[in-house]
Amino acid sequence: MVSGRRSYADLFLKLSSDPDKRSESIYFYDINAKVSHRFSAKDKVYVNFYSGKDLFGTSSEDFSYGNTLASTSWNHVFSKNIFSRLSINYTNYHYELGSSMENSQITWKSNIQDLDLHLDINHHITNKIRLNYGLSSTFHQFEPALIKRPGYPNYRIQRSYALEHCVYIGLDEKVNDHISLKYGLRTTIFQNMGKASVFSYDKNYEVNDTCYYKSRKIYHTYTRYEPRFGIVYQLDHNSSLKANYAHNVQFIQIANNSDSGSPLDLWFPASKNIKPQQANLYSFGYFRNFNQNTIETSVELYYKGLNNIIDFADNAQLLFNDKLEGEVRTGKGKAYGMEIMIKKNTGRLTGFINYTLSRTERTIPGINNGKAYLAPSDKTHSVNLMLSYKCSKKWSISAGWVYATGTPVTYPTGRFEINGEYYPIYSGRNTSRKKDYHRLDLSATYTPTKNPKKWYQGEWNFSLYNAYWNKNPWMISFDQNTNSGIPKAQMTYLFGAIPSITYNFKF
Amino acid sequence: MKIMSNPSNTTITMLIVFFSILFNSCTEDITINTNNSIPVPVVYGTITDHYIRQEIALSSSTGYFDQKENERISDAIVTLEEDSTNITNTYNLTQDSVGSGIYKTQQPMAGKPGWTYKLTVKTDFDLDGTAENYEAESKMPTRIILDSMNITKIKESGYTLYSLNISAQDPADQTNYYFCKYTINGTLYNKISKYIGFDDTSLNGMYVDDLSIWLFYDKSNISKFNDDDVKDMVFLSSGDKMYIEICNITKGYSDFIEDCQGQKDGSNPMFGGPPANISTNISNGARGYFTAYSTSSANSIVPNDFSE
Repeated sequence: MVSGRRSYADLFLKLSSDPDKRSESIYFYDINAKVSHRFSAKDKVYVNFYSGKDLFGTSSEDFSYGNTLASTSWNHVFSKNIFSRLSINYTNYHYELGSSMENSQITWKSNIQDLDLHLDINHHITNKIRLNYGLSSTFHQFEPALIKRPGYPNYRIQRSYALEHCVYIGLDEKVNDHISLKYGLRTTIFQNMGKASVFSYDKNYEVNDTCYYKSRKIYHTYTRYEPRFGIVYQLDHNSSLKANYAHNVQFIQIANNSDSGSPLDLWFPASKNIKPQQANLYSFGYFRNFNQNTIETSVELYYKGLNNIIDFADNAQLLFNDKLEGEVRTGKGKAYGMEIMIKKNTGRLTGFINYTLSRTERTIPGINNGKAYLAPSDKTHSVNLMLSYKCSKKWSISAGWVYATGTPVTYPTGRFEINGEYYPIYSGRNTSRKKDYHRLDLSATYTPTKNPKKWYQGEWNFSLYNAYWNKNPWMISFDQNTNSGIPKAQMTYLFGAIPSITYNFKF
Repeated sequence: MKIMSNPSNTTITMLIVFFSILFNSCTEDITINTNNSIPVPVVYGTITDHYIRQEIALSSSTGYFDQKENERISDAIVTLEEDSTNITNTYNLTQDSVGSGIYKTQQPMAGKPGWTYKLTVKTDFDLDGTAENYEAESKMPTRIILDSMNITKIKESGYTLYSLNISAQDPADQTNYYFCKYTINGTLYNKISKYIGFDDTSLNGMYVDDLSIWLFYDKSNISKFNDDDVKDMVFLSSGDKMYIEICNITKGYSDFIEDCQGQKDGSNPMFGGPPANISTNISNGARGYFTAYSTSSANSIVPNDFSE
């Protein structure tokens, strides 16, 4: 299978009467290719490739981010009870900023590349017991920033390298007609690898020592265990209770700037200075089906306790800083909430609605005076609604609506004046919220009767993204009124309504 | 190996976006409702080694988006104390014009390097019938000896720039922090956002010869910048007369200037860290800064010719 798409909306910017608009570009594309081959009844090989990119640009500046993934896997059947999958994967997440101003070209590139090898084995021991186990090794490479300017030496914030090895075993066990269990253990070894200059920090987060390690030298190792346990209790043939516990460890953490939705968030691998994040997740749910299983419903409660989470210190310097670990503080967090779902799978009308009520907090010494504050991702209410209706054999229509409470941000709550300039005062970290996010997407699909003489089957899709044109904020910034100097707020939003027509053909 | 031919999995998708009226990023002014923080006193004052009537400005903080100017504090008792090992002098500061919030020493005085200055502001800011004290102190750092300054005209990346260069002996004692404020043709650029801050991290104790501390764009480059940027920039032209003062300041005041410059228009939403309060050395919950610093000055004329 090969598929590709690119948005062409920016071509219409060329028709604009505004010369600045004419020179702007904004597009996304993605390419997807899959090839598979069955070598024998027991062996099948898959090759997948994906590449996608989003770009926003003006005549003098542009900003893009994207992902490239490539993978090859080999599925092998040892016997009717044992299956294996061996895969090798490569991923590259990257973003780029560029200025093409006359004689002042500059590019900033950043990426994270992973190369990993996985072996997964499924083993059906009996009808009631299934075992899965495997191992993996990943090589991570982080490129925080490479800045190039014609005529000047490149400026690079030190790359970092890490290896992550993992071995796991899990068991699915049907104990009796009422009780099923799922449990397992994963052990991970995370190793920082040279070439690297590693800084040590004193209690004021000032560098007090630097160690140099040569290429491929392993200079720091973490070993962590991740147990999990889940139980399903079937109350009757329509309803069940589920309870789960999992201990998860995250070796690569993201620290985000809460004020924009920009993908310029910084990634921190675990290291001597930053411990891996640990989470204990507890969840409990009640599941019930109605109307001969055509309607599925569930209510789930969860609590997650987090250790070693990171966030940026107050007044952190993030640009051109090769000592970013000194700008990060570590602490605890918790997330808890409730999820409700109703889903209809059959009939002319299908769809689902889910609602989540949640709260995510952090308490980090050195931030917000050590008091708990909302995590940048906190959304009190979140609703996802998706409905599809099959009008006839040829036509179907669908609608999707999303709603979420605005995410927390730190807005100034006061100001002071010195020599005719105003400066902000903040009441605390993340004490305000962006306005709520909501969006309706509509689509209609027309599938003509297949013409047996044609070698392909066509399908038209008409869609309208953000149908009622809600201006959802992407970034809030502040400026001062040119004349009075009084501060004002500005919102940047990316998209109004976007109608599109897609023609798919299958062969 | 063959390409899979299962029709359900074989799709070529072409996406055509028909038209896009607003398929573009847009920025517009918005109103944000924030809970205004409780007003606090704002104290700002610098004691210099110039023989002048030293002054302190007192005002009140206000809601971030308030349309009226910040109110002045006009009923305070302001005292300045200077201390050396065994001498203490006390000065009372008063307003020349009541309501201005600008409190000055009654007579000119020059601050002295090595002496400690202590400011006390007494005012019933919260109107509970009892005056509160807001205090700060600062030791004036030694003077940097500025031998000379010069301005060179250079061409870089298609722009005409003027480099402001200084020659001076940096004291060897410790890390020193400096800022430079300047006048151009007699106009003083006294806003903190225009101050040029630097330190001697890599130059400690050295004699710096024509060290470039700032680059100004030539006025002819204005059209190359957008209006938003231009309003915050300072341009020079050949023949302009420039006077600078290099001030040796404390680390605390240097941090304060850096915070102010970084936070003036809120934190940079793309590249900045999370927004945070600007540092202060005023006690009792007030904002602002009080410091003492020594100065050294020089002047020069913006050249017409490019440097060789």
